[in-house]
Amino acid sequence: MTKQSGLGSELWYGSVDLSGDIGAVGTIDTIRGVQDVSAINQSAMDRIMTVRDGTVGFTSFWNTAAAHAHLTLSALPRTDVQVSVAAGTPALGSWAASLVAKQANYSSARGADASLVANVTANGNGYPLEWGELLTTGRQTFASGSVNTTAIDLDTVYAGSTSTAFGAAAYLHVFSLGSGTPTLTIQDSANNSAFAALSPTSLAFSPTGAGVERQMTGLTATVRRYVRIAVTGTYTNLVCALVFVRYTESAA
Amino acid sequence: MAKVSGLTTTVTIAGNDISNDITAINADTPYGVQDITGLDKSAMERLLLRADLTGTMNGVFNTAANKSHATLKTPGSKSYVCAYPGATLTTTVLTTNYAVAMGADGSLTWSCNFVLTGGSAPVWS
Repeated sequence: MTKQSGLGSELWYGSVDLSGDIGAVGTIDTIRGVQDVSAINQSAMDRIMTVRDGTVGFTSFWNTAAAHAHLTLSALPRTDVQVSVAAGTPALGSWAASLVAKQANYSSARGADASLVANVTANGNGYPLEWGELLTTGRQTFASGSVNTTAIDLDTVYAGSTSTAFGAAAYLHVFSLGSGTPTLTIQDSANNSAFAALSPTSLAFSPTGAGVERQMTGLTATVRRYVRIAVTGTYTNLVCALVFVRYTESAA
Repeated sequence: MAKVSGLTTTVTIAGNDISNDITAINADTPYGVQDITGLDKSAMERLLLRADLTGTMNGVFNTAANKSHATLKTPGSKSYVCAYPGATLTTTVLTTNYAVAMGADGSLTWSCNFVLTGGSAPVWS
């Protein structure tokens, strides 16, 4: 892939796709704190990394319809929200940033030109903003029954790599579920043929309706080259998106 | 060599040449400064303290293998080599953020701040 624009991007706020109401996403920030550890015997600065953090900031248009921007964002929940931003038109393996956050504000602005927008900032809570790859084709519909998605390939991001040993995380957005309880299990493979659930910690989601969930493995878990979702169970019309974050360096 | 522009400059971070993704880069190599002006002086006296490096780079979003997104999406310690025409700056930095912005015009860009780490001054060659 080459340099790209943001055209076709999507923003998922909890179980709501707000993409059509978002004018700009001004901030998708992965942040690390820094501590000065320069010693008296050093002639140049020495620093180490401290806490991880993240922020997502965006501007929405004023849309008061059900399941659109105003009703979703003006609620200002005190509980965590899960926000994911897909950079460019979502596709299997395309990149998205996900954040478990506190929504810090809902700031409406009526301009002198009569424009009406709202600015929202979501600051990380407990986890940093994380970039991962979509294991779904964006918002994907699973009609029913057992389905295995097409796997993504580590080699396309890190040429020559066959596995990583630092664990992974996954962010699930369920936009709607017709009925039943599906199970979405993340599987890996060395050869894109024989797949198994991640081990020793499996990442498996069993949603019962619209909602969000984040899961992660241990920070030394091996994740092999190919990764996909295996959907099983008795259900109808699952509409969801899943962002898979493969850790490529130690976060311990 | 005569006065030159920045055409062309190459930037290699963590061993990856991401020059083509970078639209602008700034790097400052200041010293800390201590004011040691004595009571008996009518002009400032100063000492230079530790060497440092701070900088910012801006670029265009690119998820190709070993390009800017793969290189910068996780802040941390990375090797830094910036080859300007006729001079190269080499050091190890901490990238402290990776800030992506989707503009209302559809653009998708990033910025990244970096600072010196390791206790060794940046080297010009």
